[in-house]
Amino acid sequence: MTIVNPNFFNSALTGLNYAQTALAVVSNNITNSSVAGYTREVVTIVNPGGGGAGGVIVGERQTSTYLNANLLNAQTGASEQGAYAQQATQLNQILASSSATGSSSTIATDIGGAIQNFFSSVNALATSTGDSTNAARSSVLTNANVLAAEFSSVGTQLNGLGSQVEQNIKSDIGSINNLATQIAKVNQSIQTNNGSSVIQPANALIDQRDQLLQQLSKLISVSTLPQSDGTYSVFIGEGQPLVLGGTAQSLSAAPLVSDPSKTILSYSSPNGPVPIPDNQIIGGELGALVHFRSQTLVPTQQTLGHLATSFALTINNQLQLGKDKNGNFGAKMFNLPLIPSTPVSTNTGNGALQVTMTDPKQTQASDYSVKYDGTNYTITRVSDNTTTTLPSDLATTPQTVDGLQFSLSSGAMSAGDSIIVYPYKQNVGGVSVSMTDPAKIGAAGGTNGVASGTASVTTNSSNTGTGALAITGINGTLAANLPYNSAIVKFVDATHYQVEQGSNGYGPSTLVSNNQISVNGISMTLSGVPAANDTFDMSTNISGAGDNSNAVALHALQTSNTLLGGTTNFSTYYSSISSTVGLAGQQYQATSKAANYALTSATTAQQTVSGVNLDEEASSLLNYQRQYQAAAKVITVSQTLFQSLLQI
Amino acid sequence: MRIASSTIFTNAVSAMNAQENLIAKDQQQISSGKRVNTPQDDPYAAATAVTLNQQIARIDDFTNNRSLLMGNLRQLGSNLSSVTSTLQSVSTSLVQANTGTLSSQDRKTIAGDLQSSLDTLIAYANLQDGNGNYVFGGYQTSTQPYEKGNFVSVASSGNNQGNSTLSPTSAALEAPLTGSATITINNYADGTPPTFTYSISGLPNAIDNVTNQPSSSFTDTTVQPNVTVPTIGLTSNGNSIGSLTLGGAPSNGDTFTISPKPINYQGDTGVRSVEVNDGQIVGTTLVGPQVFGSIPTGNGSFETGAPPTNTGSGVISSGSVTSSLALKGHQYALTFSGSPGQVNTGNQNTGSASYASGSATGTPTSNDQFNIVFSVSNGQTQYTIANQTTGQTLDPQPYTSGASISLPNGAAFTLNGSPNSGDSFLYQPGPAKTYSVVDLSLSTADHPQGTPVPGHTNVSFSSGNAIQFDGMSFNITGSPNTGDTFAVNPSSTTDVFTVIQNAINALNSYSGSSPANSSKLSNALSSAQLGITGAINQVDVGQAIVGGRQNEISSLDSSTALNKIDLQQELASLTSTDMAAVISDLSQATVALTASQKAFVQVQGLNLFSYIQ
Repeated sequence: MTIVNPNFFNSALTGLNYAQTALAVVSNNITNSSVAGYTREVVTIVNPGGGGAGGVIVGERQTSTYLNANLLNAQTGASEQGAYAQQATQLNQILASSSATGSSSTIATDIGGAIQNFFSSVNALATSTGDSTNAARSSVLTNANVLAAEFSSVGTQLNGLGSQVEQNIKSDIGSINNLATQIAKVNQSIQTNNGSSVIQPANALIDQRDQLLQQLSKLISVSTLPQSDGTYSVFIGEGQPLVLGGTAQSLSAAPLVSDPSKTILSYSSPNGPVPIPDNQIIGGELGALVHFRSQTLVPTQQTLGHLATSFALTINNQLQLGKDKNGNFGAKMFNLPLIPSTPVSTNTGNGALQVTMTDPKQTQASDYSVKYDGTNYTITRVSDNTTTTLPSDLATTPQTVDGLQFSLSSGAMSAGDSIIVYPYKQNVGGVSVSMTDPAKIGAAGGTNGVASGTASVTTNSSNTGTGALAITGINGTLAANLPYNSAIVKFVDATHYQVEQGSNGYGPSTLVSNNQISVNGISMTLSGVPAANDTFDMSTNISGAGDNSNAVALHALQTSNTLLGGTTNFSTYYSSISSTVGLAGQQYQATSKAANYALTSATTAQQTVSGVNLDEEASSLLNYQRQYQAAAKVITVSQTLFQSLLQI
Repeated sequence: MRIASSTIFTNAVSAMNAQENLIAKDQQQISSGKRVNTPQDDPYAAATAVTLNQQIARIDDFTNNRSLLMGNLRQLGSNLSSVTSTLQSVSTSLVQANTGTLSSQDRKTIAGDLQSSLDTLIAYANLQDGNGNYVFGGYQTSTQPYEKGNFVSVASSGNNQGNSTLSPTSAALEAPLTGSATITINNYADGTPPTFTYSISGLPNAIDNVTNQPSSSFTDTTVQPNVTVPTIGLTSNGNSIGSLTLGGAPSNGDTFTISPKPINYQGDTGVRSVEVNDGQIVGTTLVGPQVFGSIPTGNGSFETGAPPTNTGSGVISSGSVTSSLALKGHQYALTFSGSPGQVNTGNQNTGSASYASGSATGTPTSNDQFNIVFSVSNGQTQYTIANQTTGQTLDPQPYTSGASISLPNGAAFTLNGSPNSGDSFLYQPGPAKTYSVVDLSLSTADHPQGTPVPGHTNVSFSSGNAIQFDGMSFNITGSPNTGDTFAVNPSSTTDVFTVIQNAINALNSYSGSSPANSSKLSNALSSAQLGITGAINQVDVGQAIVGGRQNEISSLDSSTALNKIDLQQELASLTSTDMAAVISDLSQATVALTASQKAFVQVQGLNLFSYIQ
């Protein structure tokens, strides 16, 4: 056999080259071993064919499409659960942080504690006869102020959390836009690279794109579709396209139509933003923020605002039934916040609504929308889409739905218009104490309860007949706006009377059997025979200094089921709100932990394929070093052989 | 399987992170002492704690309420005991006063004793609590419930046509009056200005003199405001007790009534109450009428009485119910009719007219005495009947021998013969013998008011025999006179002050020793004795209510205290840190962290490069 000398040498040289290239790949692996997103490469020799030694040596990326997609999903999940848990924890801390000054309470229950302290002070008022020094009354007022401040503080913090959520949504949208642009650029570069005849794949660019996708998946759920030209189409959420080849869609944060203080993810288009519904936005930090806002934060504001306002009105209503220290009907203790309503921006009419709470027992923690179709007005409870079609024209007759009275305060609604009413969610801190004079607390029974002591009737001294009126009972609850104070019963003759109040006269009425007279629910019995024009003056309880019956009734409200249609009381309502918030926190703590495990395992799995193992690289290094040394030795040997030949 | 070198690092770091999180959480639990620091730490415990805290706070509130209430009830109870002992001494005095052997001075002394007992009772009824609130006034805690002071009230009749006024000029009118006086404006005389006189009738017993009496002219003060207004002075026992002033624009026939001012209740019926447990409300006070009023008159079913106008010595018993089913609740009047009296021939008679021996006939309705005087003019004989009791004289009547002469009281007799002018016959009333009972409550056409009770018309009377009708039984002792009436009415209610006041009035009024006076006194004192018994019963009922309330709240004290301990334990077990468990967790986590750290250091050294030389 003849040995072709140059072949022997060339072969060694090629081996040397191989080893050098392999060492370069290994050292690249080692160098980038701690670079995030780096995918390890393995030396592959592409046989050029033709039986000759040599060919092209490339570093081939070690990657698994499945594991990569899995990692993106895990990343999205962990990031979503983590972000939700973080927001929920903040919300929990708001409800807990207000416990710093709590009573003997061992946990975060300050609104609960403030409600309790308010009722304790009402109890003290009920037991302090007369309260000549106003001490017990002042204490009630102080505790009312503390409670209002408590709601106000929680309301402010919730609003702070809400604007932080909005801020984060906007900044996430900015980040998504930025990432989309970068991915589009990388797509372009890869397209260019693949378009050229260079066989070497653009590994660094692919790594970079994977890394960008990782970052994107932290913000929102991502799916990809590889294209034949090497680019990826990127979809977010429930499949909304974000990057197609080299172009990126631009997203923006548009204000919600139904609540302009909130933003919604939208496509920017020349015709204005096209909103993507909240339920299409899933996964990642953005998904967490959007769902935290709609599922946890707003419902909490809704229910706490509902608790605060219906508490205030329930207390006001009871106090106004009573008589104060000066013998007048009790004053309101709380100012209720205005109920905001926003006409939808697409309205063509200029109708504006005025909404007031009238019956706290019937109210529900929900927003409402009032629609007009040209014929009928319908009011929809947003929480469960219960719709009430109003029997008559809202423009002329105020209507009460769910304890709220709706009336058209100005303008008129056109067909197709709707107005959104949000009675509670912005009003957590809206209740304030309007009463300043503790003497005006209506602690005495005013219009119901014990007959004498709450009303009196006196015979006019100039009467000429022998008639006398005696109060025998007070029926039911009298409306505070129908005072029987200063009413006059005037006899037309012995058997007919009329009731006069100011310039108003009612009657004349005929005496019913047994000489019974009823005026505004106060029944009286006539004895003797009145003469024509004899009068009897009626007045309310003005000297019941020791009457505590309304204070007792007020205290009873603590455990009466006065809310949600008579199914719950103030503290159980608060505890259910607190428990809902706690459950959300607890749930996302747990799911966040699980999602983190999933992320760890997905990362481990992905790294198993794509990560650099330094021991492996060390062994490869030694291997290729040996190969290099061996090839070098071959050259040395061939040189020696050649020298030997020359020396012959 | 390959492991990426970075995985070893990240895994170790996340393991140490997890341990450190545990340690931080344990530390927070230990330092705060709370297991639940935010609702998400344990939503169920957080929600339950809100309710538990409220329950515990309410138990504290209710415990305070009960201790306040207990103080109130103790004061109330001891006050009621004092009321009872005062009422017992009143009862003793009444028994003493009714012995019949007392001099009128003795009775006045007893009346004085009763007056001071009355004052004491009024003071008890005006009890104030530690904060100066009146206890028995209902909700009117700053108004004295029983006003003691001016006992005289003046009321104008409802039918007065004029605008005259009569007002006390002095606040010193504190004399206990009985009965009432009527002041009538009359003798209107035209003039400029017109003038009036007035007269007073029915002098109050305790007012022994009225100055300016019987009449004095006075002027319409609205027309001539500067004239001296007439003042009616009132004296009692020789001492001036105040005066009344007439004024205004009087009209002929206007009348005023002076009467004792009742000790009226000034409070209301409101019962202050306190919540002593969830939904359990207990009253803190009793209202005045509940303790001092609501006393049934008579025997509780019906009451018997005699008007002061009776002249005989009949005393009616309080009676008893024989059949409650037969009770009708009607008002009855029992009236005594006399047997016909004797007719005595005048000593100076000169004519031949004579009276057939024996009694007159008929059923006299009054106890009046009549003198029948004859006169002859123009040959016609006439007689004139003069009522010697009232001083009234009837028109002359023609006389026919043998014809019946009817007297206005229903008696009749017959004379025979011819009397001369100036002859007289004297009719003297006989003793009472029969009584009749009529029903005053009937009002139908068949049975109008005053229909006789069946079997009770002209029943012959015997002292002490039972009189029974419509389920009632009572008797009348002594000797009632013809025309004396007794009333039988359904029981009503009165108050203890009225009862004692009536007894005092009776002792002051009926001080003479006449049979009529002593029977009236006896009637009044018996009725007062019944009233005091009723009053003591009423106070006992009050005591029972107070005692019941005390029992109710003492039993709550122990049960709620136990309940509170249970709730506190439940709260602690829900929300407090279980130190033993948490400290054990903490050391476990610390050990695990140390192990992780050591392992990390060890693994970190494992690197093939370390061995490549």
